[in-house]
Amino acid sequence: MGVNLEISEILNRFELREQEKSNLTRLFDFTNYLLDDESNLTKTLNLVKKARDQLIERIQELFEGSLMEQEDSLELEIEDDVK
Amino acid sequence: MIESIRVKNFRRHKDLRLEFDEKFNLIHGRNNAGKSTIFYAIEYCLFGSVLGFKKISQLAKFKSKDIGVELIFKVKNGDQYKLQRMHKITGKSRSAKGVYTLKQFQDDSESYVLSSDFGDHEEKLSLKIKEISGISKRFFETGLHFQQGSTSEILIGSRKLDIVFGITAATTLADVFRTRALEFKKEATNIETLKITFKQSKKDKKEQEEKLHTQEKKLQELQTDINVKEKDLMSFKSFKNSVENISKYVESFNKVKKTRDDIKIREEMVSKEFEECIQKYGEKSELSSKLEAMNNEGQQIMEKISTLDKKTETFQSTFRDIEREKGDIEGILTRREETKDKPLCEYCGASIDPKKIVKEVKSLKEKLNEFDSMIKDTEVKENETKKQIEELREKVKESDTLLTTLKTQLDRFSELEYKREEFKKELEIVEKEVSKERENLIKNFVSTKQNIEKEISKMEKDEFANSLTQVVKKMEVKEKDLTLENILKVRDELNELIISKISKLTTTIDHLSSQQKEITDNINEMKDKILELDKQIAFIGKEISRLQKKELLSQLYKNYQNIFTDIQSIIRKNASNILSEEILDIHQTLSSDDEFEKISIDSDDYSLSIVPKGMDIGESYPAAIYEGGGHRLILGLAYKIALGRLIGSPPFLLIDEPTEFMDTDNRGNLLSNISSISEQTQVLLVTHQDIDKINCEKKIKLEK
Repeated sequence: MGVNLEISEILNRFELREQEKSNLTRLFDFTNYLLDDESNLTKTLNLVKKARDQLIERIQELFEGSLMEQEDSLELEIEDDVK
Repeated sequence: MIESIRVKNFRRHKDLRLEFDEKFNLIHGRNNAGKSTIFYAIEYCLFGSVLGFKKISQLAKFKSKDIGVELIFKVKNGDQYKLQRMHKITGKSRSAKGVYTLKQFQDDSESYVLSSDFGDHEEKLSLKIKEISGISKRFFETGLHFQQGSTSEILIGSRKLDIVFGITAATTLADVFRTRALEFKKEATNIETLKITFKQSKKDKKEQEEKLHTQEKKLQELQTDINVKEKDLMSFKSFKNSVENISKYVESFNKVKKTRDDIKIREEMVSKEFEECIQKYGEKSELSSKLEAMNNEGQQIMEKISTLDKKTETFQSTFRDIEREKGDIEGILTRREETKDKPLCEYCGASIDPKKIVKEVKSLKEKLNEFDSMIKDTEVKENETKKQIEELREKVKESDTLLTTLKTQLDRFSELEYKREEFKKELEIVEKEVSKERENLIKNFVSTKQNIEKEISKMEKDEFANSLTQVVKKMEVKEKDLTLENILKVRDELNELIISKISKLTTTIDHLSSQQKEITDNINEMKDKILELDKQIAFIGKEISRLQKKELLSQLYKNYQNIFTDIQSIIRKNASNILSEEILDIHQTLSSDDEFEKISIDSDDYSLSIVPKGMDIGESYPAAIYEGGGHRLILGLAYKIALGRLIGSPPFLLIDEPTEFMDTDNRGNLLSNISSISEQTQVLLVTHQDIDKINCEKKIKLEK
């Protein structure tokens, strides 16, 4: 067919790190999993709040958790300014 | 590819096991034989639910308490899996509780991949199935399972295809990322203000630290100063003690001296009294002689009295003798008187001579008279003696009184003499003590002087040291010339100087301590402030860091938003173009007629339009109203197969009664064309028509 709708392959078109690609693929699959369940859909085929919250939770796990827990290294830059 | 299925208590099947060929499988049987149920069982096993059935209990055989399906399938890379799912149905409401297990076959053995028994949730299984086979629930419903009578419904399009293609997922993710990016960006707008506050806090802290350092240095200097002053104070207190020691020695000396003076006074009083006694009573020796004389005289009187007493006793005796003789004579006389007239004596019977008797009576009377006279004389003499005795006794009495007075006077003399002696002895002792105390006092005075001189040598040559030197000079007096007055004078001068110095030092130390307290308070305040600033800096630092991360995330999410916006646009654009070409291609395979010039898909609602052969490309018909149910059915089938291929690589197709409403020719063509599709994809076809005409790898007949 020439066109593949496989998300991991589509993501290759963008400048992303492997970890990012992997995370976004997982996130995309999880979103599809949520959308596959009729009880997660509004009449306009959007995710209901509960499912959307689940999605946000997953985003936090994949992208925010590790970054927010990282030791602060930014403070030093400001400190240097003062010195 | 599905290799086999085993269903238990599933709808009408109690326990059924079917094995499938990897190509074309025909499941046939009479109506209500449970053909479509096999497809439901596959759906149930893969996803735990079946579209159109709200409750699991609706899928269970009548009155059965459990339901289960086991599916053995092979994925593209050749791995073989076994998926088992079952539900227990309990209670009047027939609620169902399900479990599943996914195992993989490896070298004739099975290994667990996922299991609800291990706490693996349904989501995990769903994602795993998607990962290994590419099948999602929506893909299954849309592109793999062609339900009886609904195949041509797809021609009017379905917005749900957005979900199937992942457009909705991409749109949703773009939206969620956009919202979060905006939230974080908004949150991070404060970051510059915080940075300024952070820098200012750091600057404030540095200033406070510098101030603190200065104050601490000052405090240290002050403490050194206080230590020096306190040392001086201690030293001056020690001076004061030395001076007080002089006072103690003076006091001790005075005390002994006073004792000596008291004794002297008392001794003088005794001497004076002694002199007075002499004047009053005469010399003690005279009194003694007098006493001796009086004692001798008294003795003589007493001897006289004794003699007189003896005389009196003699008189008494004489008197008693006379009285006795008198009595005897009176008796004789009485008897003579009585017998003078009688011839015979009535006592002895002798004859009585009256004359003789008269003579005898006369003699006796004369004798009696003599006796009376003698008694009288004796009485007179006795009375005289008694009088003498009385007089002598009186004399003795007087002498005794005098003697007592004399003795008292002599005793007083003795007492005074004794006291005088005692005082003399005491004085001797006290005089020794006085001299010892004086010696001590002088020694201490000299030692104090030496100590002060030593201290002066260490002191700064200030006014106080000069004054002290002046006083010390006054202490340089020869020992013999040292008087108590001198010592006391020097002591008072020293005392005055030292007390004044101690007072000045105490005031200075108090002043320094007060300064020290003030600085300590300032330091504590500064430390608190620094601590507070530290906390503030840490807090702001953390907040800045947090916001910087949020800013970073905002940029990242903005990028992801753009990516998913692009993805949904890519999918949407490509999906409709490719899908229409694919449908045309598949339709040509399935249909015996090459009747369409072009097939197009609306990219908004995925409705299908056709351009029949010979018609202008610009003129198109909606496929849903294209004449002929059979045509629509083939178009729908082509659409669905194309969908399946577009979404992924369909591992199987479940086609339920596709030939209904078709004429015999078209039915035959379609079934044989489906057979050609099975070259690429396993097909499980359910039908009850033209069984014998269908050329397939496996035919499975289900009995009612």
